[in-house]
Amino acid sequence: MGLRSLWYMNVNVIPADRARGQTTTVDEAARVVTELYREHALGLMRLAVVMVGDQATAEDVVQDAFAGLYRRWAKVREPDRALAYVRSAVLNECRNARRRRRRAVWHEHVPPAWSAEAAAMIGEERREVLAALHRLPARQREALVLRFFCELSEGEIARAMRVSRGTVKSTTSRALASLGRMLEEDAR
Amino acid sequence: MNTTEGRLRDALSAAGAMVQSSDVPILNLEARRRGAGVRPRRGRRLALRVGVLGAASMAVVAGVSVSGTSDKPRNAAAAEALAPPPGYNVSVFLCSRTSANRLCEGKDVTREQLTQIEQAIRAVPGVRQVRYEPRVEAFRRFKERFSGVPGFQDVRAGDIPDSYRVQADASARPGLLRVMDGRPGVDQVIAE
Repeated sequence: MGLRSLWYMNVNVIPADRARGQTTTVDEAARVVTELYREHALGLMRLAVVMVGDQATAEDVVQDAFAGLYRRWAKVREPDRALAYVRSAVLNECRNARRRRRRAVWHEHVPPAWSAEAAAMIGEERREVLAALHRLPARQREALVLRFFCELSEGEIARAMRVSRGTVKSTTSRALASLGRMLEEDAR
Repeated sequence: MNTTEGRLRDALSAAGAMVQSSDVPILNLEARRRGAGVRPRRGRRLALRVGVLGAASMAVVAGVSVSGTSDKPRNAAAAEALAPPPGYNVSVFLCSRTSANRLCEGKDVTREQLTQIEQAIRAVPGVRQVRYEPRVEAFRRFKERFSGVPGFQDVRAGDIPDSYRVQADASARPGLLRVMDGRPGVDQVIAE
């Protein structure tokens, strides 16, 4: 816990001594970004962990995305667009994280770095599916995860990926087809 | 679960379930470890706004870390701590030797600066009440507030600096921020 955070907490706390239940004016951006974080941080961390495979990176990615949203609040403004913005920032950062890792290890594909414990929990068969998913091109993987894990609508996926709905549709079906092929090959 | 889609859904939800709500960390907008471009740029205004969010984000922390536990007293303490503040308050934190703000130059606020800061605050129309709060007092209240909350035990007296606690009308806000922004001896201004 950083000292700074503690100061702020202190500030937040002091007035509680005096009066409760009264309304307060909190900086609008702070309020909205905070609410968004409260509501969506877990989902976004899960998205990130599925993409990068380790929790520490997932944490960083989500924190960076919200910090970015706060800094650009003047441009984003509406909560709806803000969510699309953080989603897309999370995807972006996940891509970067994977790129950094790939460069570091000098491999073409680096499967997510599941811990041994997590791997055991997930099980062999699911691991195969995840490994296949991670062999897909980044955009295809994203389309699949947003649809079948995040359960987003086509429009939401299009906004998060910054492509058209048509592209979402074609990318998703292509991705699903190649994933199916890979799993069949693995089974043989 | 034999279709590709079914297997994918199943695998993804198992992988995602590795993250639980108790794993969601504090929203920390100040110290980003390595995020490119997330380093706060120079300028007091940014620090000030991030500070405001810091306050708000702490509310999230308590909310998130508390959910999912059945620990009643802890819940109550956190909820009480997060009760909304009355009216409009501003805290003007003053420079201390441990301050991270470069403008403080690693020095405590001087007596002269203190006088000037207080005068400047009082001169802003709409300011109702100004109270000096020494760090000892801030620390005492902080300890009281968080005696039952885990994670806040290692706070020391010097961690929370001296401050002016200002109560003001909403109309005073821009004026206050303007006169405090970058003033010598002022570390950080936090508007609630």
